[in-house]
Amino acid sequence: MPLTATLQAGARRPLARLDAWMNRLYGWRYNPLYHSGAIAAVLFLVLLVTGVYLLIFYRIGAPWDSVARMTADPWLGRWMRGVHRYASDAVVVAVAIHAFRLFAQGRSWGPRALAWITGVILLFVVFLCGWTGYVMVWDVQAQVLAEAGARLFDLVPIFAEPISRAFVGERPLPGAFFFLNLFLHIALPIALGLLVWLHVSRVARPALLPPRGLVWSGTGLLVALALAWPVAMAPEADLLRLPGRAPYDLFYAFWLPVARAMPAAAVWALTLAVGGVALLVPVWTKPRGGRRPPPSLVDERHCTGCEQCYLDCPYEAIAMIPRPAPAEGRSALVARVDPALCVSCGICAGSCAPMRVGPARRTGRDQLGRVRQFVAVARPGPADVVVVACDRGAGGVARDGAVDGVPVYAVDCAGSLHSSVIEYLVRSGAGGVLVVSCPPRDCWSREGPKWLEQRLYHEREAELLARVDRRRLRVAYAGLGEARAVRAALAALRRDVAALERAAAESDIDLVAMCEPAETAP
Amino acid sequence: MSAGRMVAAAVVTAAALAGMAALSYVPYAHEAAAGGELRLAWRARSARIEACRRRTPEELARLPVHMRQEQVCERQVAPYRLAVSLGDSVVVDRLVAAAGARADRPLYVFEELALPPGTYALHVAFIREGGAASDSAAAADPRAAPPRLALDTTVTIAAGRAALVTYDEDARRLSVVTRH
Repeated sequence: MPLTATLQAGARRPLARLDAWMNRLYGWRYNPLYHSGAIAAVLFLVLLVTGVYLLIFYRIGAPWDSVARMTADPWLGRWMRGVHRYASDAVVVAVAIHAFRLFAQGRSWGPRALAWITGVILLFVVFLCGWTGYVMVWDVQAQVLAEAGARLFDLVPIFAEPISRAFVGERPLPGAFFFLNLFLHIALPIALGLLVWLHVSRVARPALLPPRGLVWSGTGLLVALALAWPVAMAPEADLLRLPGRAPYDLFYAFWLPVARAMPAAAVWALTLAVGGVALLVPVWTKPRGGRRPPPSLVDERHCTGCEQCYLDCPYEAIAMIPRPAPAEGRSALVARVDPALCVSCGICAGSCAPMRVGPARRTGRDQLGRVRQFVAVARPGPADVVVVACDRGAGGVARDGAVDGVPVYAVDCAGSLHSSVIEYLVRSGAGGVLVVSCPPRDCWSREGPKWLEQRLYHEREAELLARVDRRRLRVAYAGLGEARAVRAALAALRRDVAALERAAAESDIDLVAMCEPAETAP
Repeated sequence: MSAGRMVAAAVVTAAALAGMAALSYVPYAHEAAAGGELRLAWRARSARIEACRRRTPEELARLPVHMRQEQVCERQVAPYRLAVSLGDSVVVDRLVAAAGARADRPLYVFEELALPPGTYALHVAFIREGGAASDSAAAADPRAAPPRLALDTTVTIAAGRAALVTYDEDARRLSVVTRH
């Protein structure tokens, strides 16, 4: 196994355990690990609001004094500053979790490379923003950060004079320095906004907000933290006084001990090396040769132009184009997949009623062929339950092939599952079907569980037809480390199925013919 | 959600927030707090030595027409030698060359010497090198620093404080700054 794949597999194990643990504590809807990217976006908003307030009282002529005055204000200033500081720390945590999750799940290459690269740049800009923010306070931490930063920038041959000279103590720092720093602290978030737009530009319906409960509870917790652990003022910077021992924010000053111990050139080399490795993750993680999943294809001859795959695609990889060979009774438009944007999630396979869209060997028709073989081997009886499980999560039962003696029909993503597969299983005599999907915000294909639920219960095309007894169907959500949750859901469905009348088995079920669009059906 | 799980969730949340707040205030000793520092930092303009000569007709003939400049000059900024001693021991002795990719910028001195607190006999010498050519060039540039700058003084280094030796361009001499 290549090194990157080994690293990713190694990262998935602790992530799965942590996810499972957090799901037990908070439930999958409010598991903050699933919402790390959206939480970072909300924290930016918190930083913006608190930052505007702090800006009103900040004075570039007396930076430390003005911040000290704000901090001394027990009504608003102190906790506004506290929320601003802790929100900036939480952003780093949220972004780190977000990046770790996407790396572990291999969601960093191909069409997702832009999101990854802009994400790395975003993190770098966040650090710069934090750096300028701490320098604004002009306490001992600011002094050390400013001096260390200046020494690094002295190596960049674009400044007429070494920046370090400003901090030797020859004279107090001019107001122009604080003005420039304030300008950067305001300009950088504008760059962040632009980068966030780029970051999500290749996804449809980007989730920029976590559930409302998480937004308000998270903001409330930040306020509570700011009240319980108010920000303290370190002594004012004095360029002729050595900073000595002082409290530092590890989230933004983590590099100081390294910068102090190494020559500036080595720090630059290390920074460029780490940045280069991070930026090249899309290259390292790209599956090689035959392991690369094929993009979706549309059989344009049979496309009805219903636009469902175009609407469902989470990466906007499908466009509706004029039909190349227009004909009477055929739709004017047909769907076409842009292979450069397709991540091969297969969501479109589940959205196409005629089953003519999807990656090779994973279209609805292919799924029906495979489930036919599965039924022939497993022979589920009227008292039996069949588990249909997502290959990437679902407690890992799809890889085991069975759970508690029940055969598992594995799918790449529950969102790519065509509803006909479930109909086939029920009509062929299975007592019940348990579909286990990843929790909605942990879907590797972004929107699989959402579309699955809508197709099964809310008549979204390609919907599960009304003739299928919903009492025999159950959808459960379980992350990779939650085999126990799958077993519990299975036991519950088995109990319910046992209480139902005996399922009738049909033979000669031909769902393919039934799904043919009227104009092309024989 | 059971009450036990809610309590566990609250405890984990509180612990995570406390952990984050604790990491936001990690004590770190950037310098040895018990020690002090002698800092030498200044900017000085040195003499620009220009050595010019006329190209021979053969040299000119070898050049493209648009590049046939009769006089060519090589310019360099005269370096200074910095020597610092504390009592009898020499702590710095090095050549300070002009900054910049083409070595045509002013000279920048920046030295930080960690010292135990105490009073020291300090001798700083900053002497231009380059001989008579640099002297004549400096004479033509009133902003150039004197050929020899020296400072002989006693300096008291307090714990946790820095004493700065710097060059006052107006007074054209080295001086010690210990506080603003």
